[in-house]
Amino acid sequence: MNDQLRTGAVDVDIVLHCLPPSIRDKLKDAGFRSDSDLVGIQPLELASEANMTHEDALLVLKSLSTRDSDALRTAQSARDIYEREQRSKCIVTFSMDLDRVLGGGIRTGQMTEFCGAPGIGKTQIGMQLAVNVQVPLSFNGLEGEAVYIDTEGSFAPQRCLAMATAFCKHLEKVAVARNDAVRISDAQKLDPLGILERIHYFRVRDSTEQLAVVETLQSFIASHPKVKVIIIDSIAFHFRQDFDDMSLRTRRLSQMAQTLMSIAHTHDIAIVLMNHVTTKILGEGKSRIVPALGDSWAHAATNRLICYWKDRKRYAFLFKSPHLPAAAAEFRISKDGVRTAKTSQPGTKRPYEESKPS
Amino acid sequence: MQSARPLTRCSLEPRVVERLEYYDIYTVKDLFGRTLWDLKEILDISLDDVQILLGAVGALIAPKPVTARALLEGPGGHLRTLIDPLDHVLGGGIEAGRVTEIVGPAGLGKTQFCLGMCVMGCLDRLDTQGKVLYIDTEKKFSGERLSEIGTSRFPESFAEKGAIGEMLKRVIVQVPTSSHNLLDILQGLQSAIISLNIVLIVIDSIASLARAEFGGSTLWDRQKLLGQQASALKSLAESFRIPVLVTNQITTQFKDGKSTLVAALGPMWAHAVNTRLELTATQSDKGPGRSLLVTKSSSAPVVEIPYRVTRKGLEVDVSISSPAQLEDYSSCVGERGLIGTL
Repeated sequence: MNDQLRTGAVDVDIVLHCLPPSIRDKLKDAGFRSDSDLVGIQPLELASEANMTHEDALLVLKSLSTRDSDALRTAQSARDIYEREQRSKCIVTFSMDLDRVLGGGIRTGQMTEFCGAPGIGKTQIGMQLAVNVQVPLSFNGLEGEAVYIDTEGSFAPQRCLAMATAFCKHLEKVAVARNDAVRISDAQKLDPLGILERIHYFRVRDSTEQLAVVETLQSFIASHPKVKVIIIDSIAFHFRQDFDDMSLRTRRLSQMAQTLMSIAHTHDIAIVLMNHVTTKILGEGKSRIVPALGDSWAHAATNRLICYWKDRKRYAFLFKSPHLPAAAAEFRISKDGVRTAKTSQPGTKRPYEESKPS
Repeated sequence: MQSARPLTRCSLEPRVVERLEYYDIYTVKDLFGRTLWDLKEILDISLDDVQILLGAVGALIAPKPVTARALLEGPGGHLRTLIDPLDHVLGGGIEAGRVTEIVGPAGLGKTQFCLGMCVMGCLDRLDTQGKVLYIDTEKKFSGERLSEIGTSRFPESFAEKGAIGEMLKRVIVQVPTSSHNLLDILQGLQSAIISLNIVLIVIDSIASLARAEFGGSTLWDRQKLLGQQASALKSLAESFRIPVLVTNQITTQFKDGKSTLVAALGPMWAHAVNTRLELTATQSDKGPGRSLLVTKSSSAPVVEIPYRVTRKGLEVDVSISSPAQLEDYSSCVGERGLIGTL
């Protein structure tokens, strides 16, 4: 009991430990209900009382000690988080208004979802981000690599090459305009084929392959530490047709979301998900366009945007974000890729030129 | 599909496989269909070990990555449509490895377009004697019309007696009996594609069977079946690097008291196709006409191409000024195109 008071730990029920069921059951049969029942016990004693092997007894006690002695070991102070956020860089989209709405661009360490009707430009945004993650450090970019998980076969390599070519030209122009020698040199080192070389493309054909790729992402990232963005285009396609059991679908989706979120967090990578839209019948002949995959999926992404047409223009509306206000931004798709709309307000600063605290 | 791989071929311990089979988990798909907690209970191991297991099995069936650059340099290919502005924006024609949909009201020329593509498919890889598979759900295929298109477009190639007959022999027409039959055909097509050297698949139309067989209450089943058909088509297109062309119909959508024309089969199908071409009737000071629009494409801008249907199939209507490239890709397809304001 003294141990417990000292560490201030909460008395946890045995059931909540991640132990194999047979071990858990043996503990319960032997009368051990919670952590406090196991305080001060030695492995041999436990093994004999609970009728388990010495190794299993040690396993039980080890899993205990990591819990109660350092329950808050991995906690961070809000200040740590704040400083980390200040340091985090963004992946620009090349639409100034969209970047502004996103608070600078797509953030690493978070999941951002774009949903929208077919043809609105989700794949274009995805390809542009796969290119833009490669903005050199001297331009305040991430100088990273991209993973593109294609579930629909929408990725168009020729189009991506066109975007990469325009990207290189654009950076060189900006560097020259500022007469910045370092930037000029970095921009000149870029070449469109090299950019495409740093986009790692996975084509998944069904939901099982999609889940399998997500499970293997951890090891891929470990061997490719420069990856700074993972784009899944689209997360919805296979899940909308491969599952009959909706509650199973929900569980599998949430699990996938958790794995992705953990990757985003651990490796400080931006995860960008493309989703479909579907029609929700509101009754009385009215209907509304809503993101696909249901209400439970709504909790998965950190930031959510819906892309739509209005008055013949493309807009993206940020409707969920923990730290940014809801806002809409117009964007344009040109032959060079995603760009600022022509009716954008003049004088908007280009996000990647803003001086950031080093 | 890799997901159908049995667990017995996944380098797992026999004891583990046996345990899983006891719970009706036989294939990789079954395994990934269960949650981590279910598997923990079934296998009597810790959560971390479950993740390790899934990671190991996942590594066996997960697709291997390639760089985007490798994709660029891989086998590509387009099948020319002979509608020059269209070929230009699509990068050469309808793309191999993708599903292209042509949608429009009845009578504007969808089948004519398909027949024209049959001719192009036969001529494309002449040396390899490639064949075209035409899946005809509405019994609209006309050998005579195909012959006319061929001889009008390429009088020199088909001048020789019997040449057109040779071409006609290379177009294989299959009439599916139902939507499920169509899915079965698609799922079993691999060997036919290899042995017959099929270079183009046309489905005219994908909509009719689905719309006839499924009604209000079974809409979910219809969408699911369409999804499976779309996956099968994409898989064939990509694995064999051939173009797949499907036609779709128009329906009327009532929204907020107004009725608009939209493509049939719903938004989910619209998400599934890679490229969408729309045929629409137009009115101008020169009278009624027809236009072809590219309304969904990963690489092409929105273009409007006026056309006419002639002996040669679909041809650019040169009497109208050169096709408009709607500026900066920004003009709203949603309001003009048949998808409706989604």
